[in-house]
Amino acid sequence: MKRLAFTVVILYYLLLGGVGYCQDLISEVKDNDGNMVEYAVITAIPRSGEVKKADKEIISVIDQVDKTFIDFVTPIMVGTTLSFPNSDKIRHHVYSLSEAKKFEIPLYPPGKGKVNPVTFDKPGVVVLGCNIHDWMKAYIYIVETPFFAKTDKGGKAIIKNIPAGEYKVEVWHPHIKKSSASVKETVVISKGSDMKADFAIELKKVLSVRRAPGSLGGGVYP
Amino acid sequence: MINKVRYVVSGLLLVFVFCQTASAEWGEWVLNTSLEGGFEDNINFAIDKNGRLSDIAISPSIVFGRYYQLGDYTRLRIVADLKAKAYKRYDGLDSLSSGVDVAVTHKFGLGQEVPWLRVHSFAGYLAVNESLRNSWLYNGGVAFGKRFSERFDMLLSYDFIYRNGSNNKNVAEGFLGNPFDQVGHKGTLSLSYLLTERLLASLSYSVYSGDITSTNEHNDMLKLANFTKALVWDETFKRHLWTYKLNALSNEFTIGLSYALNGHTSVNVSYIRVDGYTSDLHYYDNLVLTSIKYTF
Ligand SMILES: [Cu+2]
Repeated sequence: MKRLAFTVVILYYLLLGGVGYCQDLISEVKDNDGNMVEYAVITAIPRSGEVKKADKEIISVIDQVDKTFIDFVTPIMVGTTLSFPNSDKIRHHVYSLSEAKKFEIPLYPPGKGKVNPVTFDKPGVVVLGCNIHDWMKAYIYIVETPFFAKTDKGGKAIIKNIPAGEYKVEVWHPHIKKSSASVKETVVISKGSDMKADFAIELKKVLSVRRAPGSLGGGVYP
Repeated sequence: MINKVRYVVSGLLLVFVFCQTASAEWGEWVLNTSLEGGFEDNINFAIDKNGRLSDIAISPSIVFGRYYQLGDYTRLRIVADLKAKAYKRYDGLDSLSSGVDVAVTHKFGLGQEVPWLRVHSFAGYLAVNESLRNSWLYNGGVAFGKRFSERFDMLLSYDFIYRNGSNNKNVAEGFLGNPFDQVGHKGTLSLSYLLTERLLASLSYSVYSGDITSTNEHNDMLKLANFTKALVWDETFKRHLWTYKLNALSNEFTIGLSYALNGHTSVNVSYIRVDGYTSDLHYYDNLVLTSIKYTF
C-alpha cells in the first residue's frame, strides 16, 4: 500500500511537476568586489528531504591535459563514480588525502575513457593532487542532491529542469570564506517559471604552488 | 691519451645507464632553456681593489633529457646540460660547457609537503676561448627538499666539486702550472616564498670551502710563494697578469625575484654577493643577473 502511494506521488510529480514545464533555477555568483565568480557550485536541496539516488553509471571524468586537471572543480552527487583518464603523454600520480575520500592512483599511463574509476560515497570536499607535479590541484565537491550546477566564466550557473517545490539553496567555492552568506533557506520553485537565486560571496586569497621555474632554478620538486 | 680514455669511459657509462633504465617505467621529458645576461664587477676575483675587472656576459643554456620512474616515489633523471657564455670585453673568457647529470630523487610519500631527497652526479667539459682554462668538471652531491606550504619551499644541498684543468707548462720556478685543478665543498640553503600568484622571491646562502683562482698583477714571486703553489701567466684579460690558485672559504648570498609569464616561462632578476677569504686575503664580487627561463 505504501509503495503504491509512493508511486502515485512520483507519477504526480513527473506528470505535473517535471515533464513539459522545464523550469530552471538560475544563479549568478559575485565576489565582494563585484567580480563574477567561476567554479562556484550551486546546490538545491528539496526541503521535503526526498532525493533520488545517483546513477551508478560513470557520468563524469576528471582529465589531465598539459599537467593540469580538467576541470578545476567537479561537483557530483554522493554515490557517483568518476573516471580519471590521462590525455597527457606522461604519467600522473593522482591522490586525495581528504576525509571525504582518501585514494591514490599511482603513476598511470596515458589513457582515454572510463579508466581508473573511483566511487565517491560520502558528501564533502575532496582535494586532488598529483604527486609528480605539485602544482596540479583540483576539487571534487560531493553533494547529497541531484540538483546542482557549476558557475561558468561569467559567474552563471543553471540547474535545469528542477521540479517545482521548496528548496534550500547553497553556494560553495574552493576558496569561499566561512563568513559568506552562502545559504538561502527557502527558495520556492513554481511550475513553469524560472527562478533566480544570486549570491555575493567572500573569497580567501589562496595561492597555489607555482609551476614556472624560479630565479634559483630549483623550487618545485624536481 | 688520458683524455681519450675519459671520453670512452664516460661514453660507456652513458650507454650503461641508458640500458639499465630502458626497462624502467616511462617518465617524462625534461627540457629547460634559459637566456641569462648579467654584469659582474670582479670577474677575475682580484684581491687588490685596483685590479678588479668588470664585464657583462650573455649566456644561453639548455638542459634536456628525461625522467625514468623507478618506483612510485623514485625517479631517475638523466640530462645533458649545455651552456655557452660570451663576454663583451674579455672574449678570452667565452666558453662552452657540456655535461651529463644523473640524479635519483626519492619522495618520502604522498603530498605536496612530503620531503624528498636527491643524489646526483655531474661530469662535463668546459672549453674556454683562452684554452689554459679548459677543464673537466665533475661534481656530485645530495639535496634535500621540503615544502612547508603552497608558498614556502626549502632546499638544502651539499656538493663535492672537482675541476681537472689542463696541465699548463710551468712558467715560474717552484710553481706548478695547474691552478685550474681544484677541489671544493659547497653547502647551500635556499628558500623560496611566493609573494603573489606570479611573483616568487628567493634567498640562498652558500658556503664554499676549497680552491679558487684569482687573477692579479704581481711581480714579487717570493711574496706569491706564500699564497700559492700553482700559477699561470694569463693574457685572458688583455694585459699581463698572473692567475693563481688559492685555498679559500667563500660565502655566497643570493637574492632573487621571479615573475611567471605563464606556467612554463619566467622572467628573473637576481643579485649575488660573493665574499672570499684566504688565510690573510679578502676578495669580493658582485653580480647582477637577469634571465628568461622556459621549462617544458
Ligand atoms: Cu601529474
